[in-house]
Amino acid sequence: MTMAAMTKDRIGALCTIGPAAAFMVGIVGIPLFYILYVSFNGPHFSPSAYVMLLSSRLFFQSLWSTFETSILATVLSVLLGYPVAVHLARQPARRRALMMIMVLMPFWTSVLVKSYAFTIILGRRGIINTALSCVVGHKVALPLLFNKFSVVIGMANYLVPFVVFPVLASLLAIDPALGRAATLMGARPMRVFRQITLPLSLPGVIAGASSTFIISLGFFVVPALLGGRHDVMLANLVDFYTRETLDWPAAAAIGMCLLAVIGMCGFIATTLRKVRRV
Amino acid sequence: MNTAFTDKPACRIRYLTTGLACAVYGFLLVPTVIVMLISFGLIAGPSQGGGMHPTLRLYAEFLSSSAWMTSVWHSVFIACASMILSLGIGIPATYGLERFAFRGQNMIRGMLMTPLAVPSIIISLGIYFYFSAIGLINSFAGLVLAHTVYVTPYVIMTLAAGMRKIDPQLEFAAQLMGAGRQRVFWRVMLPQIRPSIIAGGLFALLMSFDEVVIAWFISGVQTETLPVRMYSSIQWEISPLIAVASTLLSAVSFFACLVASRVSPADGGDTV
Repeated sequence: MTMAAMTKDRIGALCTIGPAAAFMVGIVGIPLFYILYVSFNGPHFSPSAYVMLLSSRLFFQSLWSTFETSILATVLSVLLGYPVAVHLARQPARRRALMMIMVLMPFWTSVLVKSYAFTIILGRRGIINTALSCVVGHKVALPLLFNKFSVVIGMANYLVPFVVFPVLASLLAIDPALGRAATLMGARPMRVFRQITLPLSLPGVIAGASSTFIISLGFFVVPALLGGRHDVMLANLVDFYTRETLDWPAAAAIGMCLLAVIGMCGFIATTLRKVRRV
Repeated sequence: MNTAFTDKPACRIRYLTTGLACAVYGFLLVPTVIVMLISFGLIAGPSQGGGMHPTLRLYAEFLSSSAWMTSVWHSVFIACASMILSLGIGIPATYGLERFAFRGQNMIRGMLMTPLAVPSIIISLGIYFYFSAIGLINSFAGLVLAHTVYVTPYVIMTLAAGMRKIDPQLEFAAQLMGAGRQRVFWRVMLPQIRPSIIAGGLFALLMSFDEVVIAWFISGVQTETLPVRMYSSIQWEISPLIAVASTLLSAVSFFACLVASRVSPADGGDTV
């Protein structure tokens, strides 16, 4: 490309991308730096908010809870998403597109709708307890809501599609001749699955699991609506310090910690994927 | 016919995965269906007498409740404004990214995608601090700006997928015949990417209409959106009208999902 064309391209790029870039800098970039600024106590620089966090039991409790809940939700989502991906991969293309709606619909459904539904299904006088009462014959009130169980169920319900999409993509990339060849040579279906399907779909599983885990770390709505007082995650703690105690530096410092944790996990996930590819 | 499929253990495995998959489909879809049934009075909701006759009573109550309806109109207004604004900045930005060559292109592309990489709680917190400082908190302008930024990455992704699918030779031919860059864009490119624009606009509309975390932080009593009202309602009072609001939200999602899959049947999955 000639020099003049290069310059012309640069001007064109500036005119077209400029407005969007200005929006991103103005409404995401500056606020992100503003969090950092507030976390160090605004104009009077001091790391006091971070020092406070180091001695805060509530902070470490919710940090642990964030990891625990995210791991459980990720494992459950992979276990639920994998069979769906296998089932979809086996369908003929047109039927698959139609059945995808059963995964896409929940994907687009608001997390509020799902959380509300689970308060009704899992509540003390909810659908499951009422049904169990009918079966057993006397009143049953299993504590299914406002604990870790309901949070993990609610999160997995939201996250399953994030596992299905990448796993389905890697299952569809497997050459069907491999399975046929193995079967012709006498491999039982279980062995075909164990030695061909599963290893070759692993990149999809890793991609799905890592993105699911990272999304889980920042979850806010589900633990707030379905969790009890002991299931507070970092995102809820941010909200608590911003609105309830009005301690902005603390809220900002927790936000920075959450961002650091997510950034670290994202880095590990991308490195993991690169290592596997080599 | 492949012998593997008439083999007994193979059949057993097929049934097993089909069964498991159907159970998961149920797990994914049943919650929404239950909420819809409650809204039509077919199941008794919480804090409600056990009547089980189909009725539109809750819908009538919802439509006559000024608090709920106000929040619906707020959400509609914010979603429409964010959609127009995000298309307004997203279409040229995607064109620039796809049709110009310049240094730092990947960095700029990455920068435009930041709202995807940063969890919404962090974006909300930053915007909350920043808007408090510049006086945009609890304002429609603030909500529209925040939602625009939040949905723009999805708009750009959808548009980029559409632009990559069309044949660049057509634009080249138009240029050879003397059309300027602007004319090529309006007369050759835009008509070809119209489906992607519709799909991207719908995604923007739906995502803004559904968005709760950012709105929860920066909206106030005068600017409360439907999801924010639902969120606080689920937390504090569990009004049966939440079922109606939920059905409304699901209907919007269903409509958007349907139109999007009709407009671009192939990439319903990988644009998101």
